[in-house]
Amino acid sequence: METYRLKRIVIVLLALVNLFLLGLLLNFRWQGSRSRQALSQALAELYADNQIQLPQGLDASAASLTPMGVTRSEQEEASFAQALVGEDARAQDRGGGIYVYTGSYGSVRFRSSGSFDYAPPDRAVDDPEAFCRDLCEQFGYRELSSTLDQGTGTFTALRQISGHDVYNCSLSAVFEDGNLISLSGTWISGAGAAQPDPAASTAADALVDFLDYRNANGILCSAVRAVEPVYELLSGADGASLAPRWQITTDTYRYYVDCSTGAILRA
Amino acid sequence: MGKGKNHLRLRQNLAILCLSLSALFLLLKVVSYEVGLSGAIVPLFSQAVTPAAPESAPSTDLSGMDGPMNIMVIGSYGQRGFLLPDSGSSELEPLRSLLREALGSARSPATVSAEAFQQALDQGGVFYDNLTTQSGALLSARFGASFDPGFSVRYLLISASRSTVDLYLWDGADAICRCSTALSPSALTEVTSSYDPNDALFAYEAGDAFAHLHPYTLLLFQPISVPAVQGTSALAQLSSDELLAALDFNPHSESNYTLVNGTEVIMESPRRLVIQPDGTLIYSGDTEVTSDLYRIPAADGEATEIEAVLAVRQLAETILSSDVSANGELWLSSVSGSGGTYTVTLDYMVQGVPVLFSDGGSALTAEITDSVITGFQFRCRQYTASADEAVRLLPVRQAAAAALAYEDAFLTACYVDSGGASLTPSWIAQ
Repeated sequence: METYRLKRIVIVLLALVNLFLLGLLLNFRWQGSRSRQALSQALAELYADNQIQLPQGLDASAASLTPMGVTRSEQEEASFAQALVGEDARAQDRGGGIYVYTGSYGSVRFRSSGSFDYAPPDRAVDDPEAFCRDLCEQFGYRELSSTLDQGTGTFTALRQISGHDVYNCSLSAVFEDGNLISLSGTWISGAGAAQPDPAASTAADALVDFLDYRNANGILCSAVRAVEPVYELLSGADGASLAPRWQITTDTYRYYVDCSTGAILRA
Repeated sequence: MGKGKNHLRLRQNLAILCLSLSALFLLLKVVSYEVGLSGAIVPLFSQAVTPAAPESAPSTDLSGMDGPMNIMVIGSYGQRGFLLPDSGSSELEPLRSLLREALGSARSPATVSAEAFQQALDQGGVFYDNLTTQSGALLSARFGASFDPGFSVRYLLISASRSTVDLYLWDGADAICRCSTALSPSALTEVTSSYDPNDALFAYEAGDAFAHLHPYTLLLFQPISVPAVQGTSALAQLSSDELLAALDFNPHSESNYTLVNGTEVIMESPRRLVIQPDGTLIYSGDTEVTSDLYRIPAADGEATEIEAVLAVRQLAETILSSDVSANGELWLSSVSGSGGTYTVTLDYMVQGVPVLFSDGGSALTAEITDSVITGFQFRCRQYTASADEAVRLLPVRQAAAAALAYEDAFLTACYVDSGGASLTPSWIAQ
């Protein structure tokens, strides 16, 4: 038989194999989509039975974040310090993991846990809101709230890692008549890209844990506004780490679900 | 005609190539669905991120070698006391971190009076009671610091003055010093205000019923429960050959023999190892032993206190291999000696509560001569704390009343190991 006829047969067979595999793949995706819908539906019914509303479009099968270690970066820390105390900031290792950076605009102290405090004796800022927003943009904070009015008030922001909040890693600035009175909070360097882990807990797991907690403790709650994957900064003897949590915002309070144990913490 | 055939051949080859690659791609997608990766083909096309592993502690300090400790947090709204807390508890981490930073940044020690210590205590802060007096250098090393006040320390206090935070160290007798630290008053306040009061008191502020106790006895008036603990010989899970090999003895030596009571004696003159039926090991040797298990790697030729303690801990870990699961930890109860010759004593504790043997002995006592471990006695015990069963201690008022016969007694809790299967939790007056 001529070669080209053999090849024609091979091409037909390969085409059939491709069609079969494509059909199999589409079937898997369709089944996955159906099971996700069924899960969301079942969760909505469970919550409805308990007189609690869930947000529209909730993806119950969304996975939690990957736990990450946090390495203290002296370079990034120095850069942050320079933004506060001036380009001429000099670092001094005070021992115990405490670094003090001193520059033209005073001194800022960083602890091993990432917390810092800065109370300049005399630091006039032309536009406090712009100053804070620049700081946020440069160092990965998301603005939470601002009560600044004619140079007086407070500004708070939350650290983000790859677009996800680190809920206990915040920054707070206090201004009075255009003078920065204090700037304190927690600073951590970027810990790398966060990637959803299929083996971790899902939003559905977190919501079931929350429902159990709510029923066991008689929590007042009639609606869940949002369910988001966030990080919690943990400090230990071996260093700091980012532990994944589910942040459940209800119409009364905000709660955090531990992805590994299911334990609930109220904000 | 030839060209036509060539074109046909080329098109067919291309088609086969494309269809083969396509089939391979689809097969990989199907397989990845099967293993639950949601269709992601890993690691070819996605960027996996490896979480950073925590750095292991350097081998030259005692970080992580915890001991039983009482802690009192004195805040604006009251006091919160921790009686022998589990050092691994996350609730304690801010307090441990604070002490690490204070010891690490301590500078300019200045002698002060006991009254100054008491005044600072009254102003607030965090008080730590090490329960035993320990060399300041060793205590610092346990927290990863190298500060040495030059005397043994039992009590530590972190307290704020106007704009600074001071660290007080006291041996409980005449040696007290105050050091400046790099902590800020706001950092200390942040820690002290994060703990809710539990009405804990020191004995000196608790009234006449406790006046006979040591003033810094920490008193908790709420019910105190500790886990029920079972104890067994840790050697039961090890074969004799494994143990002897680990201790650098020949398991097949013909000079080994067993006594009538089951005690094994292994002789490799001048070294001798006795294995008692209850799991107690008694070793005697000399300074000529070549095994690294007994020779202390001293940086300056003569082992320091820290190096001696690390070597003894290494010895204990070698004997209690990692296969032996236990809730008991070994803590450093005492070190004496200098210049390469020491006596190091370790004891057990379970979740922060020390274990005392009914005969008053220690868990491990090691003799070091010229930077070589020349003898040790080790009660190899394994403890398992129940997750479900707890034992309630006598209320502290009754315990204090029972201690009336002992003037200036320090009341604390412990487990008593009489060699049986269950340990008895108890108050003791030291």
